[in-house]
Amino acid sequence: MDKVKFSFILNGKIVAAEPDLYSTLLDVLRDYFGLTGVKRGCEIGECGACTVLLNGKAVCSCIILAPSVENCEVLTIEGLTNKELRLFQEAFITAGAVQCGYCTPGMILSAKSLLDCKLDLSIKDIKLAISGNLCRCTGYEQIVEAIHNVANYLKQKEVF
Amino acid sequence: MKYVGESVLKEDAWDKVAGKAQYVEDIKIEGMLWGIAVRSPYAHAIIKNIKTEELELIPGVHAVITAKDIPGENRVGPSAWKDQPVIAEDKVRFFGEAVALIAAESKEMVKESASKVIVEYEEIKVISELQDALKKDCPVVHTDGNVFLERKIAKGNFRNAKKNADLMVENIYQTQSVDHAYIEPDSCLAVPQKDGGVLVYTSTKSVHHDKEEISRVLGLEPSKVRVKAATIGGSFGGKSDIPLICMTSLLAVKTQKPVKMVYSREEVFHITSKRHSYIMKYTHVVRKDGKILGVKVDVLIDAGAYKGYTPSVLGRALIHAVGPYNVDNVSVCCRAVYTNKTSSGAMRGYGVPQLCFAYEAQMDEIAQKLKINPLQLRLINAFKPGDRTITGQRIKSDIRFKETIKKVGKIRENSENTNIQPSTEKSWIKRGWGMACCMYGNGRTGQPNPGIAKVQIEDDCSIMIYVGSPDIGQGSNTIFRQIVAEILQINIDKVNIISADTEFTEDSGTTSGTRLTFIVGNAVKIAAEDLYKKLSLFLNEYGLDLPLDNCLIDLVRKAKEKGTKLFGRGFFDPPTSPLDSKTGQGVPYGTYTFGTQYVEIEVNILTGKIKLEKFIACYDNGRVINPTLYKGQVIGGIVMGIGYAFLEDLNIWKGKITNANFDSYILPTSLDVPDIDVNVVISSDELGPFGAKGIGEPAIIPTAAAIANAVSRALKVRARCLPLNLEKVIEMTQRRDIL
Repeated sequence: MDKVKFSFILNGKIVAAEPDLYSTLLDVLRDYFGLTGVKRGCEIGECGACTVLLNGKAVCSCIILAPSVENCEVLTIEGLTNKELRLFQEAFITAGAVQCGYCTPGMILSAKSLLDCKLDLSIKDIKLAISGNLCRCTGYEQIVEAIHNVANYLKQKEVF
Repeated sequence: MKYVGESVLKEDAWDKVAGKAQYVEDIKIEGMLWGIAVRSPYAHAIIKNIKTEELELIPGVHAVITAKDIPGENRVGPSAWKDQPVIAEDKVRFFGEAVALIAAESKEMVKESASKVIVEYEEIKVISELQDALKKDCPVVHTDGNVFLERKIAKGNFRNAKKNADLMVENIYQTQSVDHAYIEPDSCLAVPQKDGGVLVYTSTKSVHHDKEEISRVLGLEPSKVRVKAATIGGSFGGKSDIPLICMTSLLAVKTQKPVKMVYSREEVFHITSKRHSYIMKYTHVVRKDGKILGVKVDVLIDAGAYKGYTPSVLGRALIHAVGPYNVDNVSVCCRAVYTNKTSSGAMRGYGVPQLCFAYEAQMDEIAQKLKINPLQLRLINAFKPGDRTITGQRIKSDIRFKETIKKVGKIRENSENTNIQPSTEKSWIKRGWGMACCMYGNGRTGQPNPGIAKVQIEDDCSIMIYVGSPDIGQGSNTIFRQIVAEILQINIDKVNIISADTEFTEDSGTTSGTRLTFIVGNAVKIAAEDLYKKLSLFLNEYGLDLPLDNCLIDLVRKAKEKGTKLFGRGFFDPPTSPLDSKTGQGVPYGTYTFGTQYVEIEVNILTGKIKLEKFIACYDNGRVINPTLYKGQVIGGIVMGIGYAFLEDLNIWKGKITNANFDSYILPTSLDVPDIDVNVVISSDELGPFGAKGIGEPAIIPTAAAIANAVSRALKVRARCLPLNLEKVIEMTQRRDIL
């Protein structure tokens, strides 16, 4: 198969890849860069397990052709700062928002894309932001609570 | 107590959030091949010929396997009945059944090569529907007739009860087949070993059973097969797909290279097991004061193409057919039927949510006809201590089922929600409330199913728990750590666990049947107690003092000097007895979990859309060991039940599932979830570890039933069929059987 060479910013670093022409971003992230925090669930952009941030926006990496992210910024769960990760870990685990964990990285990136925009959040805002991420274990309530707690914490930090 | 009753955090969750947890697909081994199954495009056909020669010449293709190449027995099954071939021999019985296997050097190559296998089929008429399988001129799926199992259970005399009754309510109900829809697709990685054996990483609810199946199919000594669960991305009764783990192992042993197989989402839908669809006929005969005198139940169960779990699901259905109600005269008959669909299996609730939908609709109809408050009707008939179940088992003195109904009633009164009044503003919005109750036996039905555990003090001064049953994400490992920390009175951070690895653990049974907390938890507790007893003697001998936290280092040193390993072993098998084959009498379960759910809804009669306003759940669950995990099971179960009630439905055409991905098979999202108020009544089970019982399956059982009752109340038309999708709700609004 034809190969195509392109470069983009992955988790803050400029990288280059030369995958098959029709590779998806999911394939490239998992197979080329070994970022297995990006999960494969349905491969048609429905379950959200493969969610990454593309220029700050949550997208399903399974339905994006890899070369189309040339010169874009891509963030995966592995690219969170230690501080951010710790914050999400504590909030999610305390609220009981993690069971099997397969949806969790995608869920957190959807949450991050919302939190990066605003911190004054209604429950509805949060539910909308994660409505593209399927979770079969928890029933969502605990995930919504966790994200709400992260927002409140960040808001307080802004005030003081 | 320091740890039992506390929301101790799940130790595996840190890596899961960070994206570091390794699921099967994430494990990579140098030189690994990819495996794929060539699958039948027909649901029912004779295999005339398979041509693979051309394929074997392609560079990069390392192996092609058909049924004749299987060294052991080409039959698998999750229970005693092994009737499913790993690779079809002369006939395919469901869409997508494997006819050949290929291993090749890359994912792309293996996919491409699958299309080059030429298979000649002769189609046979497909049996898609349960009713069709019963018709006289219908072809048979196997040689033994399509109705392959019929079992009955009876108590008292239903006919006499009918004579004495003031009211008879008789109806037919039907439920659909649904998918587990765990988000991690089934996958397996098999690594050949130097001794001719194989190491298998899989996503499973039972490593020990997987090991037995693999060794039988490969014709290997069991000691040469090691199965180890990777991080498991959800199970809910599914996983492993037994053919998958055998296929991957076959390819690995044949090529002598590591082989990985990962199902696409479509494969997961087409191939793996499903929840059974039922057709149920219920006849309740009732006295005018609301006392149910007798119930007659006939159930037809769609087993799919192979027996799978059906005989065992059917056994549980018999016992749970009447629900959590004390009825003296009962007659239940369940029949299992083959169709040309993938085999129906174990799914959260194990054959009971279907029944609950039907018997709870009956309860509401009885209440309405007798003009008794539905809550009151349930209280009149609810099991209480001293009553006898359908199998003659006495309801234990610690059962607090009625309290769950009363508590739900009280919460509902206190909330004074006016939502249940008809809306005056929008005439197209109808409102209603519904409730449903359930009971669920913890563990396998009337069979020995012991939990076995070992708790050992390791050389690094940690405490290690060894348990065979996997943590499928629900948090059983955390529950076990809490139990051990509590018994040994040690800081829980020092307590670790190895689970789901056949190399290091004994067979402690599958993670199913709501058995982990109640049964395996007991084994873990007994193991910790055993260790504690041994420790006390040891400490005395060496003049060391508890607590363990302070003396652990000295203790480990002394033990090393003496050359002893300090460990305890626990075994717990609930006191059950098999059911008598004639009378159906016996003690099928060590204990039962009881519960009640209540829901308020809005229905838009123009669109058919159901909007959930509020949910209340209350369980007699014994003591809750971890409140956060308990809540997680209840809410997760309810949301899965919401999908079952009005979203999820496998559409089948000529045996083929036509909605085999999440664009058309619709799961509940965050936007479908209402406020859920999760409660327990204070209770303590006399057998459970620290008084605990299981909640995994009871959590889903009443949900669809409660929603259906609410929709029926809102529309004044009785729902008899699941799911209540838009079309069915609109159809209901056009019916005229005004309640």
